[in-house]
Amino acid sequence: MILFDRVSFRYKSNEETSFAIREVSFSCRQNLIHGFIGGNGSGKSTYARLIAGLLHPEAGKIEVCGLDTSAEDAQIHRKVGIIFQNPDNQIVGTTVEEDIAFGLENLAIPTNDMPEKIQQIAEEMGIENLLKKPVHHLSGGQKQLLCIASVLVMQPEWLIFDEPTSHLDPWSRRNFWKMLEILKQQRQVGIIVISQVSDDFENFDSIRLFADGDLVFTGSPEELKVANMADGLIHLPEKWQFEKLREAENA
Amino acid sequence: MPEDLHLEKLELFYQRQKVCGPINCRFSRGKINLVVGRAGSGKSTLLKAIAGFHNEVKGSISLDSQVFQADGNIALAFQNPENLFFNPTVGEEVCFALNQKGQSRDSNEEIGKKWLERWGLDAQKYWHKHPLELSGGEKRKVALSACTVLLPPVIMLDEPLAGLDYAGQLKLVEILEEIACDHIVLLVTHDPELLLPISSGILFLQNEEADYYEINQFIRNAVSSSDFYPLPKWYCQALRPFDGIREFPMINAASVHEFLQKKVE
Ligand SMILES: Nc1ncnc2c1ncn2[C@@H]1O[C@H](COP(=O)(O)OP(=O)(O)OP(=O)(O)O)[C@@H](O)[C@H]1O
Ligand SMILES: [Mg+2]
Repeated sequence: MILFDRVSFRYKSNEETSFAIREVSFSCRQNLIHGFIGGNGSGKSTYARLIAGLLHPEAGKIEVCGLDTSAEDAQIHRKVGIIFQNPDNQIVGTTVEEDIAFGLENLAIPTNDMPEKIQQIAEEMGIENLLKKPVHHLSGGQKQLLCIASVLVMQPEWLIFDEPTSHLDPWSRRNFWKMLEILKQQRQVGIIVISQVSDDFENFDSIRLFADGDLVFTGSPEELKVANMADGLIHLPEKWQFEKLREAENA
Repeated sequence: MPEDLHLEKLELFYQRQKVCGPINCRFSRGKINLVVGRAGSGKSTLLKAIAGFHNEVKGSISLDSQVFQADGNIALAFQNPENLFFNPTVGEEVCFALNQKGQSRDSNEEIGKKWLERWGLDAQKYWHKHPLELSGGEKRKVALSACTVLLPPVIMLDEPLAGLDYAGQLKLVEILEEIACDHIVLLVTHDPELLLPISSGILFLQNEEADYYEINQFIRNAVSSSDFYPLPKWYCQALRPFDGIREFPMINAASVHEFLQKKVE
Protein backbone atom coordinates (compact mmCIF):
# COMPACT_ATOMS: atom_id res chain seq x y z
CA MET A 1 0.00 0.00 0.00
CA ILE A 2 1.11 3.52 -0.78
CA LEU A 3 -0.36 6.31 1.29
CA PHE A 4 -0.14 10.06 0.68
CA ASP A 5 -1.44 12.06 3.61
CA ARG A 6 -1.76 15.80 2.96
CA VAL A 7 1.60 15.86 1.20
CA SER A 8 3.18 19.16 0.18
CA PHE A 9 6.35 19.49 -1.83
CA ARG A 10 8.43 22.13 -3.64
CA TYR A 11 11.79 21.74 -5.37
CA LYS A 12 13.01 25.09 -4.10
CA SER A 13 11.27 26.42 -1.05
CA ASN A 14 12.18 30.05 -1.80
CA GLU A 15 10.67 30.25 -5.28
CA GLU A 16 7.02 31.12 -4.98
CA THR A 17 6.06 30.75 -8.62
CA SER A 18 7.58 27.38 -9.39
CA PHE A 19 5.97 23.96 -9.33
CA ALA A 20 4.34 22.86 -6.07
CA ILE A 21 2.33 19.97 -4.65
CA ARG A 22 -0.16 21.23 -2.07
CA GLU A 23 -1.71 18.96 0.54
CA VAL A 24 -2.42 16.03 -1.74
CA SER A 25 -3.82 12.78 -0.31
CA PHE A 26 -4.44 9.43 -2.01
CA SER A 27 -3.61 5.76 -1.70
CA CYS A 28 -2.65 2.93 -4.11
CA ARG A 29 -3.28 -0.75 -3.50
CA GLN A 30 -0.85 -3.50 -4.46
CA ASN A 31 -1.54 -6.10 -7.18
CA LEU A 32 -2.91 -3.53 -9.57
CA ILE A 33 -1.45 -1.61 -12.47
CA HIS A 34 -1.80 2.06 -11.62
CA GLY A 35 -1.50 4.60 -14.41
CA PHE A 36 -0.20 8.11 -13.65
CA ILE A 37 -1.07 10.43 -16.50
CA GLY A 38 -1.00 14.19 -17.18
CA GLY A 39 0.71 16.77 -19.38
CA ASN A 40 4.37 17.77 -19.41
CA GLY A 41 5.44 19.27 -16.11
CA SER A 42 2.26 18.16 -14.31
CA GLY A 43 4.27 16.35 -11.63
CA LYS A 44 4.15 12.66 -12.60
CA SER A 45 7.88 12.01 -12.23
CA THR A 46 7.98 14.06 -9.04
CA TYR A 47 5.34 11.80 -7.52
CA ALA A 48 7.38 8.78 -8.60
CA ARG A 49 10.49 10.15 -6.91
CA LEU A 50 8.55 10.94 -3.75
CA ILE A 51 7.24 7.37 -3.56
CA ALA A 52 10.73 5.95 -4.14
CA GLY A 53 12.11 8.08 -1.31
CA LEU A 54 14.39 10.00 -3.67
CA LEU A 55 12.60 13.21 -2.66
CA HIS A 56 10.90 13.96 0.63
CA PRO A 57 7.74 15.92 1.38
CA GLU A 58 7.96 19.35 2.93
CA ALA A 59 4.81 18.67 4.94
CA GLY A 60 2.50 15.71 5.35
CA LYS A 61 3.47 12.07 5.23
CA ILE A 62 4.10 9.34 2.65
CA GLU A 63 3.94 5.70 3.69
CA VAL A 64 5.02 2.77 1.53
CA CYS A 65 4.36 -0.73 2.92
CA GLY A 66 3.83 0.87 6.31
CA LEU A 67 7.17 2.70 6.28
CA ASP A 68 7.52 6.47 6.42
CA THR A 69 9.59 7.46 3.35
CA SER A 70 11.17 10.39 5.19
CA ALA A 71 12.35 8.29 8.11
CA GLU A 72 13.43 5.04 6.48
CA ASP A 73 15.25 5.83 3.25
CA ALA A 74 17.35 2.69 3.05
CA GLN A 75 14.38 0.39 3.56
CA ILE A 76 12.31 2.27 1.00
CA HIS A 77 15.01 1.96 -1.65
CA ARG A 78 14.70 -1.82 -1.31
CA LYS A 79 10.93 -1.85 -1.40
CA VAL A 80 10.49 0.43 -4.40
CA GLY A 81 12.19 -0.25 -7.72
CA ILE A 82 12.08 2.57 -10.23
CA ILE A 83 12.78 2.31 -13.94
CA PHE A 84 13.56 5.70 -15.41
CA GLN A 85 12.53 7.26 -18.68
CA ASN A 86 15.87 6.55 -20.33
CA PRO A 87 17.37 3.10 -19.64
CA ASP A 88 20.85 4.29 -20.64
CA ASN A 89 21.02 6.34 -17.46
CA GLN A 90 20.27 3.32 -15.33
CA ILE A 91 22.49 0.55 -16.66
CA VAL A 92 25.74 0.37 -14.67
CA GLY A 93 27.28 -2.97 -15.67
CA THR A 94 29.28 -3.56 -18.85
CA THR A 95 27.56 -6.88 -19.53
CA VAL A 96 23.98 -7.96 -18.88
CA GLU A 97 25.08 -10.39 -16.19
CA GLU A 98 27.16 -7.78 -14.43
CA ASP A 99 24.35 -5.28 -14.40
CA ILE A 100 21.99 -7.73 -12.72
CA ALA A 101 24.71 -8.75 -10.23
CA PHE A 102 25.19 -5.15 -9.21
CA GLY A 103 21.82 -4.99 -7.48
CA LEU A 104 22.48 -8.26 -5.69
CA GLU A 105 25.78 -6.99 -4.37
CA ASN A 106 23.93 -4.07 -2.86
CA LEU A 107 21.71 -6.53 -1.05
CA ALA A 108 24.79 -8.33 0.27
CA ILE A 109 23.73 -11.66 -1.24
CA PRO A 110 26.53 -14.27 -0.89
CA THR A 111 28.54 -14.50 -4.12
CA ASN A 112 27.85 -18.24 -4.39
CA ASP A 113 24.11 -17.71 -4.65
CA MET A 114 24.33 -15.06 -7.31
CA PRO A 115 24.61 -17.10 -10.55
CA GLU A 116 21.42 -18.99 -9.79
CA LYS A 117 19.49 -15.85 -8.93
CA ILE A 118 20.76 -14.12 -12.07
CA GLN A 119 19.84 -17.09 -14.25
CA GLN A 120 16.35 -17.22 -12.74
CA ILE A 121 15.52 -13.59 -13.28
CA ALA A 122 17.01 -13.60 -16.78
CA GLU A 123 14.78 -16.51 -17.70
CA GLU A 124 11.76 -14.77 -16.26
CA MET A 125 12.46 -11.71 -18.43
CA GLY A 126 13.42 -13.78 -21.46
CA ILE A 127 16.95 -12.43 -21.71
CA GLU A 128 18.86 -15.56 -20.65
CA ASN A 129 20.59 -15.71 -24.03
CA LEU A 130 21.95 -12.21 -23.57
CA LEU A 131 23.70 -12.65 -20.22
CA LYS A 132 27.25 -12.42 -21.62
CA LYS A 133 26.44 -9.60 -24.04
CA PRO A 134 27.96 -6.14 -23.64
CA VAL A 135 25.13 -3.78 -22.70
CA HIS A 136 25.82 -1.38 -25.56
CA HIS A 137 24.90 -4.14 -28.03
CA LEU A 138 21.33 -4.34 -26.75
CA SER A 139 18.34 -2.85 -28.54
CA GLY A 140 16.10 -0.35 -26.74
CA GLY A 141 13.55 -3.00 -25.81
CA GLN A 142 16.26 -5.36 -24.54
CA LYS A 143 17.81 -2.60 -22.43
CA GLN A 144 14.47 -2.03 -20.84
CA LEU A 145 14.06 -5.73 -20.02
CA LEU A 146 17.52 -5.64 -18.46
CA CYS A 147 16.59 -2.65 -16.29
CA ILE A 148 13.49 -4.48 -15.14
CA ALA A 149 15.49 -7.64 -14.40
CA SER A 150 18.08 -5.67 -12.42
CA VAL A 151 15.35 -4.07 -10.34
CA LEU A 152 13.21 -7.21 -9.93
CA VAL A 153 16.11 -9.31 -8.71
CA MET A 154 16.05 -7.17 -5.56
CA GLN A 155 12.46 -8.32 -4.96
CA PRO A 156 10.85 -4.94 -4.53
CA GLU A 157 7.22 -4.64 -3.45
CA TRP A 158 6.55 -1.77 -5.81
CA LEU A 159 7.72 -1.18 -9.35
CA ILE A 160 7.50 2.26 -10.89
CA PHE A 161 7.98 2.78 -14.63
CA ASP A 162 8.54 6.34 -15.81
CA GLU A 163 7.25 6.50 -19.41
CA PRO A 164 8.34 2.98 -20.32
CA THR A 165 6.57 2.90 -23.67
CA SER A 166 7.52 6.21 -25.23
CA HIS A 167 10.92 5.01 -26.43
CA LEU A 168 9.81 1.52 -27.45
CA ASP A 169 8.96 0.51 -30.98
CA PRO A 170 5.31 -0.52 -31.46
CA TRP A 171 6.18 -4.24 -31.44
CA SER A 172 8.03 -3.99 -28.13
CA ARG A 173 5.18 -1.93 -26.68
CA ARG A 174 2.80 -4.83 -27.11
CA ASN A 175 5.32 -7.17 -25.48
CA PHE A 176 5.76 -4.76 -22.60
CA TRP A 177 2.08 -4.93 -21.67
CA LYS A 178 2.04 -8.72 -21.91
CA MET A 179 5.11 -8.87 -19.67
CA LEU A 180 3.47 -6.53 -17.14
CA GLU A 181 0.31 -8.65 -16.92
CA ILE A 182 2.45 -11.71 -16.19
CA LEU A 183 4.41 -9.84 -13.53
CA LYS A 184 1.20 -8.73 -11.87
CA GLN A 185 -0.14 -12.25 -11.77
CA GLN A 186 3.02 -14.06 -10.72
CA ARG A 187 4.56 -11.71 -8.22
CA GLN A 188 3.30 -9.83 -5.22
CA VAL A 189 4.00 -6.38 -6.57
CA GLY A 190 2.25 -3.12 -7.01
CA ILE A 191 2.92 -1.48 -10.36
CA ILE A 192 2.83 2.20 -11.29
CA VAL A 193 3.23 3.20 -14.91
CA ILE A 194 3.66 6.83 -15.94
CA SER A 195 2.57 7.40 -19.49
CA GLN A 196 1.98 10.04 -22.09
CA VAL A 197 0.83 7.52 -24.70
CA SER A 198 -2.96 7.54 -24.68
CA ASP A 199 -3.13 4.07 -26.24
CA ASP A 200 -1.69 2.80 -22.95
CA PHE A 201 -4.68 3.93 -20.90
CA GLU A 202 -6.81 0.86 -21.37
CA ASN A 203 -4.07 -1.34 -19.92
CA PHE A 204 -4.41 0.32 -16.52
CA ASP A 205 -6.55 -1.02 -13.69
CA SER A 206 -6.69 2.39 -12.09
CA ILE A 207 -5.82 5.86 -13.40
CA ARG A 208 -4.70 9.05 -11.66
CA LEU A 209 -4.59 12.26 -13.65
CA PHE A 210 -2.29 15.06 -12.51
CA ALA A 211 -2.36 18.72 -13.50
CA ASP A 212 0.00 21.36 -12.20
CA GLY A 213 0.99 19.26 -9.18
CA ASP A 214 -2.60 18.46 -8.25
CA LEU A 215 -4.42 15.14 -8.43
CA VAL A 216 -7.50 15.97 -10.50
CA PHE A 217 -8.98 12.55 -11.34
CA THR A 218 -8.92 9.04 -9.87
CA GLY A 219 -10.84 6.15 -11.40
CA SER A 220 -10.92 3.22 -13.78
CA PRO A 221 -10.40 3.56 -17.55
CA GLU A 222 -14.19 3.15 -17.94
CA GLU A 223 -14.76 6.07 -15.60
CA LEU A 224 -12.19 8.20 -17.39
CA LYS A 225 -13.92 7.44 -20.67
CA VAL A 226 -17.10 9.13 -19.51
CA ALA A 227 -15.66 11.72 -17.11
CA ASN A 228 -16.35 15.36 -17.84
CA MET A 229 -12.90 16.82 -18.14
CA ALA A 230 -11.91 20.44 -18.72
CA ASP A 231 -10.74 21.11 -22.27
CA GLY A 232 -7.11 20.35 -22.97
CA LEU A 233 -6.55 18.54 -19.68
CA ILE A 234 -6.23 15.15 -21.29
CA HIS A 235 -6.35 13.62 -24.74
CA LEU A 236 -8.43 10.47 -24.66
CA PRO A 237 -7.33 7.56 -26.87
CA GLU A 238 -8.58 7.90 -30.44
CA LYS A 239 -9.96 4.39 -30.07
CA TRP A 240 -12.29 5.51 -27.27
CA GLN A 241 -13.35 8.58 -29.21
CA PHE A 242 -14.09 6.42 -32.22
CA GLU A 243 -16.21 4.03 -30.13
CA LYS A 244 -18.13 6.98 -28.72
CA LEU A 245 -18.88 8.31 -32.19
CA ARG A 246 -20.09 4.89 -33.32
CA GLU A 247 -22.27 4.48 -30.25
CA ALA A 248 -23.82 7.92 -30.69
CA GLU A 249 -24.63 6.99 -34.26
CA ASN A 250 -26.26 3.69 -33.34
CA ALA A 251 -28.27 5.22 -30.52
CA MET B 1 16.41 26.55 -51.10
CA PRO B 2 17.33 22.84 -51.06
CA GLU B 3 15.24 20.48 -53.20
CA ASP B 4 16.29 16.96 -52.36
CA LEU B 5 18.69 14.80 -50.48
CA HIS B 6 19.51 11.73 -52.51
CA LEU B 7 20.79 8.47 -51.00
CA GLU B 8 22.27 6.05 -53.51
CA LYS B 9 23.29 2.51 -52.62
CA LEU B 10 23.93 3.72 -49.11
CA GLU B 11 25.05 0.93 -46.77
CA LEU B 12 25.56 1.33 -43.05
CA PHE B 13 27.99 -0.77 -41.01
CA TYR B 14 28.88 -1.13 -37.35
CA GLN B 15 32.30 -2.68 -36.72
CA ARG B 16 32.26 -4.10 -40.25
CA GLN B 17 28.88 -5.71 -39.71
CA LYS B 18 26.16 -4.52 -41.98
CA VAL B 19 23.33 -2.72 -40.15
CA CYS B 20 21.28 -1.70 -43.13
CA GLY B 21 21.34 -1.13 -46.86
CA PRO B 22 21.51 -0.64 -49.71
CA ILE B 23 19.27 2.39 -49.25
CA ASN B 24 18.10 4.17 -52.37
CA CYS B 25 15.77 7.06 -51.86
CA ARG B 26 15.11 10.76 -52.23
CA PHE B 27 14.06 12.97 -49.34
CA SER B 28 12.42 16.08 -50.69
CA ARG B 29 11.38 19.45 -49.43
CA GLY B 30 7.67 20.36 -49.17
CA LYS B 31 6.56 17.66 -46.78
CA ILE B 32 8.46 15.80 -44.10
CA ASN B 33 10.11 12.40 -44.60
CA LEU B 34 9.57 9.62 -42.07
CA VAL B 35 11.90 6.80 -41.08
CA VAL B 36 10.43 3.88 -39.11
CA GLY B 37 11.54 0.42 -38.00
CA ARG B 38 12.22 -1.77 -35.00
CA ALA B 39 14.75 -0.90 -32.35
CA GLY B 40 18.18 -1.70 -33.72
CA SER B 41 17.17 -1.49 -37.39
CA GLY B 42 19.58 1.38 -38.03
CA LYS B 43 17.35 4.46 -37.93
CA SER B 44 19.56 6.56 -35.69
CA THR B 45 22.67 5.31 -37.49
CA LEU B 46 21.21 6.55 -40.75
CA LEU B 47 20.67 10.04 -39.34
CA LYS B 48 24.18 10.05 -37.89
CA ALA B 49 25.62 8.90 -41.21
CA ILE B 50 23.90 11.75 -43.04
CA ALA B 51 25.12 14.15 -40.34
CA GLY B 52 28.66 12.89 -40.85
CA PHE B 53 28.98 11.52 -37.30
CA HIS B 54 29.03 7.92 -38.43
CA ASN B 55 31.59 7.08 -41.07
CA GLU B 56 31.32 3.36 -41.60
CA VAL B 57 29.27 3.76 -44.77
CA LYS B 58 29.39 2.90 -48.45
CA GLY B 59 27.49 4.56 -51.26
CA SER B 60 26.71 8.22 -51.76
CA ILE B 61 24.69 11.08 -50.30
CA SER B 62 24.03 14.13 -52.43
CA LEU B 63 22.12 17.37 -51.98
CA ASP B 64 20.72 18.76 -55.22
CA SER B 65 23.18 16.64 -57.21
CA GLN B 66 26.24 17.86 -55.29
CA VAL B 67 28.17 15.63 -52.90
CA PHE B 68 26.59 16.41 -49.53
CA GLN B 69 28.72 18.38 -47.07
CA ALA B 70 27.12 17.87 -43.66
CA ASP B 71 29.16 20.53 -41.92
CA GLY B 72 27.05 23.66 -41.48
CA ASN B 73 24.16 22.18 -43.46
CA ILE B 74 22.42 20.07 -40.85
CA ALA B 75 20.71 20.30 -37.49
CA LEU B 76 20.14 17.07 -35.59
CA ALA B 77 17.89 16.72 -32.54
CA PHE B 78 18.99 13.59 -30.69
CA GLN B 79 16.84 10.88 -29.18
CA ASN B 80 17.86 11.51 -25.56
CA PRO B 81 18.25 15.25 -25.15
CA GLU B 82 19.33 15.19 -21.52
CA ASN B 83 22.52 13.33 -22.37
CA LEU B 84 23.71 16.26 -24.40
CA PHE B 85 22.88 19.34 -22.39
CA PHE B 86 26.09 21.03 -21.35
CA ASN B 87 25.15 24.66 -20.71
CA PRO B 88 24.24 25.96 -17.26
CA THR B 89 21.00 27.62 -18.33
CA VAL B 90 18.16 26.92 -20.73
CA GLY B 91 18.85 30.23 -22.47
CA GLU B 92 22.47 29.38 -23.24
CA GLU B 93 21.53 25.89 -24.32
CA VAL B 94 18.95 27.18 -26.78
CA CYS B 95 21.17 29.93 -28.16
CA PHE B 96 24.38 27.90 -28.29
CA ALA B 97 24.48 27.36 -32.05
CA LEU B 98 23.48 30.96 -32.74
CA ASN B 99 26.14 32.37 -30.43
CA GLN B 100 28.76 30.13 -32.05
CA LYS B 101 27.94 31.78 -35.33
CA GLY B 102 28.58 35.18 -33.85
CA GLN B 103 25.85 37.81 -34.35
CA SER B 104 24.63 39.95 -31.54
CA ARG B 105 23.70 38.23 -28.28
CA ASP B 106 20.59 40.37 -27.93
CA SER B 107 19.14 39.38 -31.25
CA ASN B 108 20.08 35.75 -30.60
CA GLU B 109 18.25 35.89 -27.29
CA GLU B 110 15.19 37.23 -29.01
CA ILE B 111 15.24 34.37 -31.52
CA GLY B 112 15.81 31.81 -28.78
CA LYS B 113 12.91 33.09 -26.70
CA LYS B 114 10.63 33.11 -29.68
CA TRP B 115 11.35 29.43 -30.35
CA LEU B 116 10.97 28.40 -26.72
CA GLU B 117 7.53 29.99 -26.73
CA ARG B 118 6.65 28.31 -29.99
CA TRP B 119 7.54 24.93 -28.56
CA GLY B 120 5.30 25.68 -25.60
CA LEU B 121 7.59 26.84 -22.78
CA ASP B 122 7.16 30.17 -21.04
CA ALA B 123 10.47 31.86 -21.96
CA GLN B 124 10.35 34.23 -19.01
CA LYS B 125 9.98 31.37 -16.57
CA TYR B 126 12.46 28.92 -18.08
CA TRP B 127 15.24 31.07 -19.54
CA HIS B 128 17.46 31.04 -16.46
CA LYS B 129 16.66 27.54 -15.22
CA HIS B 130 19.19 24.73 -15.26
CA PRO B 131 18.38 22.37 -18.17
CA LEU B 132 18.63 19.31 -15.93
CA GLU B 133 16.05 20.69 -13.49
CA LEU B 134 13.27 20.22 -16.00
CA SER B 135 10.68 17.52 -16.57
CA GLY B 136 11.22 15.03 -19.40
CA GLY B 137 8.89 16.81 -21.82
CA GLU B 138 10.30 20.22 -20.95
CA LYS B 139 13.82 18.94 -21.77
CA ARG B 140 12.54 17.73 -25.11
CA LYS B 141 11.12 21.18 -25.83
CA VAL B 142 14.44 22.84 -24.97
CA ALA B 143 16.27 20.43 -27.29
CA LEU B 144 13.80 21.12 -30.08
CA SER B 145 14.21 24.87 -29.60
CA ALA B 146 17.99 24.50 -29.77
CA CYS B 147 17.55 22.56 -33.00
CA THR B 148 15.28 25.09 -34.68
CA VAL B 149 16.94 28.43 -33.78
CA LEU B 150 19.27 27.93 -36.69
CA LEU B 151 17.58 26.43 -39.66
CA PRO B 152 20.14 24.87 -42.00
CA PRO B 153 18.91 23.17 -45.21
CA VAL B 154 18.59 19.70 -43.67
CA ILE B 155 16.79 19.19 -40.32
CA MET B 156 16.84 15.75 -38.72
CA LEU B 157 14.90 14.70 -35.63
CA ASP B 158 15.31 11.41 -33.79
CA GLU B 159 12.07 10.37 -32.06
CA PRO B 160 11.02 13.91 -31.23
CA LEU B 161 7.52 12.84 -30.13
CA ALA B 162 8.78 10.68 -27.27
CA GLY B 163 7.91 12.33 -23.96
CA LEU B 164 5.89 15.18 -25.47
CA ASP B 165 2.32 15.53 -24.26
CA TYR B 166 -0.48 15.69 -26.81
CA ALA B 167 -0.46 19.49 -27.00
CA GLY B 168 3.28 19.38 -27.61
CA GLN B 169 2.88 16.77 -30.32
CA LEU B 170 0.34 18.92 -32.13
CA LYS B 171 2.75 21.87 -31.96
CA LEU B 172 5.46 19.68 -33.43
CA VAL B 173 3.25 18.77 -36.37
CA GLU B 174 2.36 22.40 -36.99
CA ILE B 175 5.94 23.67 -36.75
CA LEU B 176 7.42 20.92 -38.92
CA GLU B 177 4.81 21.38 -41.60
CA GLU B 178 5.92 24.98 -41.87
CA ILE B 179 9.65 24.25 -41.76
CA ALA B 180 9.31 21.57 -44.43
CA CYS B 181 8.20 24.19 -46.96
CA ASP B 182 11.75 25.36 -47.43
CA HIS B 183 13.87 22.71 -45.68
CA ILE B 184 14.42 19.01 -46.01
CA VAL B 185 13.08 17.41 -42.85
CA LEU B 186 13.87 13.81 -41.83
CA LEU B 187 12.15 12.34 -38.81
CA VAL B 188 12.64 9.00 -37.06
CA THR B 189 9.62 7.87 -35.08
CA HIS B 190 7.72 5.02 -33.44
CA ASP B 191 4.49 7.03 -33.59
CA PRO B 192 3.83 7.93 -37.22
CA GLU B 193 0.04 8.40 -36.79
CA LEU B 194 -0.03 12.15 -36.20
CA LEU B 195 2.70 12.82 -38.73
CA LEU B 196 1.33 10.94 -41.73
CA PRO B 197 -0.78 13.87 -43.04
CA ILE B 198 2.30 16.10 -43.33
CA SER B 199 4.61 13.42 -44.72
CA SER B 200 5.47 12.58 -48.30
CA GLY B 201 6.69 9.06 -47.64
CA ILE B 202 8.10 6.52 -45.24
CA LEU B 203 11.42 4.75 -45.29
CA PHE B 204 10.90 1.44 -43.50
CA LEU B 205 14.08 -0.22 -42.25
CA GLN B 206 13.74 -3.93 -41.61
CA ASN B 207 15.99 -6.99 -41.68
CA GLU B 208 18.89 -4.97 -43.03
CA GLU B 209 16.73 -3.76 -45.87
CA ALA B 210 15.23 -0.37 -46.56
CA ASP B 211 11.97 0.07 -48.44
CA TYR B 212 10.44 3.38 -49.35
CA TYR B 213 6.64 3.68 -49.34
CA GLU B 214 4.31 6.39 -50.43
CA ILE B 215 1.98 7.15 -47.46
CA ASN B 216 -1.20 5.53 -48.73
CA GLN B 217 0.68 2.43 -49.80
CA PHE B 218 2.18 2.15 -46.33
CA ILE B 219 -1.22 2.46 -44.66
CA ARG B 220 -2.77 0.00 -47.12
CA ASN B 221 -0.12 -2.62 -46.32
CA ALA B 222 -0.57 -2.10 -42.58
CA VAL B 223 -4.36 -2.29 -42.82
CA SER B 224 -4.36 -5.46 -44.92
CA SER B 225 -1.74 -7.32 -42.90
CA SER B 226 -1.08 -6.94 -39.20
CA ASP B 227 2.40 -8.39 -39.75
CA PHE B 228 3.50 -5.43 -41.85
CA TYR B 229 3.57 -2.61 -39.32
CA PRO B 230 1.46 -2.24 -36.16
CA LEU B 231 -0.78 0.77 -36.79
CA PRO B 232 -3.59 1.14 -34.19
CA LYS B 233 -5.84 -1.93 -34.22
CA TRP B 234 -9.13 -0.03 -34.15
CA TYR B 235 -8.06 1.85 -37.30
CA CYS B 236 -7.01 -1.26 -39.19
CA GLN B 237 -10.21 -3.06 -38.27
CA ALA B 238 -12.41 -0.17 -39.35
CA LEU B 239 -10.60 0.27 -42.67
CA ARG B 240 -9.92 -3.35 -43.63
CA PRO B 241 -13.11 -3.69 -45.72
CA PHE B 242 -11.95 -0.70 -47.78
CA ASP B 243 -8.30 -1.54 -48.33
CA GLY B 244 -8.64 -0.97 -52.07
CA ILE B 245 -9.23 2.78 -51.71
CA ARG B 246 -6.71 5.25 -53.08
CA GLU B 247 -6.65 7.68 -50.20
CA PHE B 248 -6.94 6.62 -46.58
CA PRO B 249 -8.49 8.84 -43.92
CA MET B 250 -6.20 10.22 -41.21
CA ILE B 251 -5.62 8.06 -38.15
CA ASN B 252 -7.98 9.81 -35.79
CA ALA B 253 -11.52 9.10 -34.65
CA ALA B 254 -13.20 12.02 -36.40
CA SER B 255 -11.65 11.38 -39.82
CA VAL B 256 -12.39 7.66 -39.80
CA HIS B 257 -15.93 8.23 -38.60
CA GLU B 258 -16.57 10.75 -41.35
CA PHE B 259 -15.08 8.41 -43.92
CA LEU B 260 -17.34 5.54 -42.86
CA GLN B 261 -20.43 7.72 -42.91
CA LYS B 262 -19.72 8.75 -46.48
CA LYS B 263 -19.26 5.11 -47.47
CA VAL B 264 -22.69 4.24 -46.09
CA GLU B 265 -24.42 7.00 -48.04
N1 LIG C 1 15.21 18.73 -10.19
C1 LIG C 1 14.31 19.71 -10.34
N2 LIG C 1 14.52 20.94 -9.79
C2 LIG C 1 13.62 21.92 -9.92
N3 LIG C 1 12.45 21.80 -10.59
C3 LIG C 1 12.17 20.62 -11.16
C4 LIG C 1 13.08 19.50 -11.06
N4 LIG C 1 12.54 18.46 -11.71
C5 LIG C 1 11.35 18.88 -12.20
N5 LIG C 1 11.11 20.17 -11.87
C6 LIG C 1 9.91 20.96 -12.19
O1 LIG C 1 8.77 20.38 -11.56
C7 LIG C 1 7.65 20.33 -12.43
C8 LIG C 1 7.12 18.91 -12.48
O2 LIG C 1 8.09 18.08 -13.07
P1 LIG C 1 7.89 16.52 -13.31
O3 LIG C 1 9.19 16.02 -13.82
O4 LIG C 1 7.33 15.92 -12.11
O5 LIG C 1 6.79 16.53 -14.46
P2 LIG C 1 6.21 15.33 -15.34
O6 LIG C 1 4.75 15.29 -15.11
O7 LIG C 1 6.98 14.10 -15.10
O8 LIG C 1 6.44 15.89 -16.82
P3 LIG C 1 6.92 15.16 -18.18
O9 LIG C 1 5.72 14.57 -18.81
O10 LIG C 1 7.39 16.31 -19.02
O11 LIG C 1 8.00 14.18 -17.85
C9 LIG C 1 8.13 20.88 -13.76
O12 LIG C 1 7.64 22.17 -13.94
C10 LIG C 1 9.64 20.89 -13.68
O13 LIG C 1 10.16 22.02 -14.34
MG1 LIG D 1 8.38 12.90 -16.31
